[in-house]
Amino acid sequence: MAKRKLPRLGRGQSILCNLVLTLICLYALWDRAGYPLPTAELEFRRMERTHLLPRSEIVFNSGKDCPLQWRDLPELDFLDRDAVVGMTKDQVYVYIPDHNSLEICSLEDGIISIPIYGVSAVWTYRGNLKMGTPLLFLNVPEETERAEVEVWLDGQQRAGNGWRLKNGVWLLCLGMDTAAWSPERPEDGVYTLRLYRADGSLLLEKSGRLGE
Amino acid sequence: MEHTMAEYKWLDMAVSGIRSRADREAVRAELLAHLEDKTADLQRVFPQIPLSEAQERALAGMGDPEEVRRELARVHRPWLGWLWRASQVLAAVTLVLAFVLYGGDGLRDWTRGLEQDSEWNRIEDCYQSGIDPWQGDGADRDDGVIRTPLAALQPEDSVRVGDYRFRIKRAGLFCFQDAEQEPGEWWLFAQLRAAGPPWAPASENVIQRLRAVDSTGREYASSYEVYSLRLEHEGYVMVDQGRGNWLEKRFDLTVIGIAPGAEWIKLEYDWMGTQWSLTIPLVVEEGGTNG
Repeated sequence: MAKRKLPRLGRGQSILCNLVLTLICLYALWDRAGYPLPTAELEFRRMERTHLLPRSEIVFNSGKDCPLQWRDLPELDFLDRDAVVGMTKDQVYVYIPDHNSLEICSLEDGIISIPIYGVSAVWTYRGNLKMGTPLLFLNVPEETERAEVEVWLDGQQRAGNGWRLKNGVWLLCLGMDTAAWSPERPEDGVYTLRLYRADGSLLLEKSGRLGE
Repeated sequence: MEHTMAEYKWLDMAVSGIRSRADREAVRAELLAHLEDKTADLQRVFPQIPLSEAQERALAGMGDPEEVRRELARVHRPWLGWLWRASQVLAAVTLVLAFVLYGGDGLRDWTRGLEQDSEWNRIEDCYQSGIDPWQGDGADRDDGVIRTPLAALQPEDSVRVGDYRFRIKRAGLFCFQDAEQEPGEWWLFAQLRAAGPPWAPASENVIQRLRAVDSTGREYASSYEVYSLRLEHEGYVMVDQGRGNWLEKRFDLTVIGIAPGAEWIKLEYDWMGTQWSLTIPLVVEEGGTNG
C-alpha cells in the first residue's frame, strides 16, 4: 500500500498550530487551578455575574487603595487577604477572595457600618504594630474631616481612627496588639461613631451595633 | 551524487542572507535537491557528457548566487523563523506542564457530570424521565408510598439572563400517595440546566432562590426560604447541589406538593432586581406513563 504523506505545513500555519496547542494546554491548566483570575476586582466582578447581581460601584478595593494614608494617621495596609466592597443603589457586596463568597447587605438611609471579617488591617502606632478588623462606614456626611469609633467588646472599650476612602466612605479600625487579635473573631459589639468637622467641632455622634 | 566544491560555494553564498539557521538549512537542502535534479536531467538528455560538465552546466543555470542571496534574504524574514522556534518551545513547555499538572485526575474531573455514576444520579435520572426508579422492585421500598408516573415532559421554554441560558431539559410528573393522603399530591422532578462560560458557572445560590406558582395560583417557597430561613410552607422547590461539565451546570430540582390538576407550573426568580421565569406545562398522559 502506498504511503500517504501528510501535507507539509507552511511556516505561518505551523506557528498557528503551535499557538493553538499552547492555548489548549494553558486552558487545561487554568481549568485545573479552578479558573483563578489575576485580581480581586476581577474575581469580585465574576461573583456579581454568577449571582446574577446588578453591577455595583466599587467603593473599596484593598489591593488598589492600600496602603491608605489620611492626614496625620499612620499608613493603613491589609495583611494576607484583600477585600473588595461594591455598592449599588440599595445593596452592598463584600467580597474576600479567600472566603470565596459574596456577602450582601442592605443599604438603608443613614450611616451604615459593615465589618469586613476575616481580613487583617495593620498599621504602626508609636512604634507598635497594631491590627484590627476593618469597619467600613457608608453614607458618612461629606463635611467629615476626622472620624473616631469606640466599640464595647467583652466588657472592654476599644477606640479606633478613621481613614477616608472617598466621599461618604470611611474605613475605621480598632487597634489591638497583634498577639491579642485574630482575624476570624467577629467584632460585633456596640459602637459609637464620632465625626468631626475641619475646625474640630463635633459634626455627628451615632451609636449602633456593628453590622446593622 | 558527488558534489563539487563550486556547488557547495554557490549554495553557501545563495543562502548566506537567511538569518534563521533552521530556515537556512531547509532552503539549502531544497536548492541542493533542485541542483541534483537539474544535473540528472542534463545527463539524461545528453548521455555523452561527463558528470562534471553536467554539474557545471546545471550550476550555471541556477543563476548568479549573489542575486539569489538577495532575493532569498528578502523573502525569508528572520523574525518568522524565530517566532516559529519560540512557538515550538512554548507549545512543548505547556504540553509537558499540562501533562504533569493536569494528568489523569484532571481528565476525570473534566468529564465528570457526563457520567451518571452514582445511585442518587440514577434515581434522579429515572424520576426526571418519568420512570419510577423502584418500578418492579416495590418489595425493597416499604415506605408505603404509591408512586404513579403521570407524564414525561420535555418543556421547550428557555430564558437568557446575563451570561447564562437557563432551560429545563426534561421533567417527570408523579403522583405520590400514601394511606393518609387522598387523593395524593403531585411532585415534579426536573433537570434545570444553566449554560454559561465555564470559568463563571451559575451560582447555586441563584437556583436556591427559585420559587414557583402553578395554574391554580398556589405558590411554592424557594429552597432558600425553606432551608436557610426555616419558613414552613406546604409546597416548595427543592434544589440539589449542582453538577455538570464545563459546558453546562445541571441542577436536580423537585417541586413538592403540587395541587393535583394543575395545568402548568412556573418557576420564578426575583432577587436583587433580576427577574426571570420558566414555564412547564403539566400535560398528563392518559393512564400515566408506566415508565
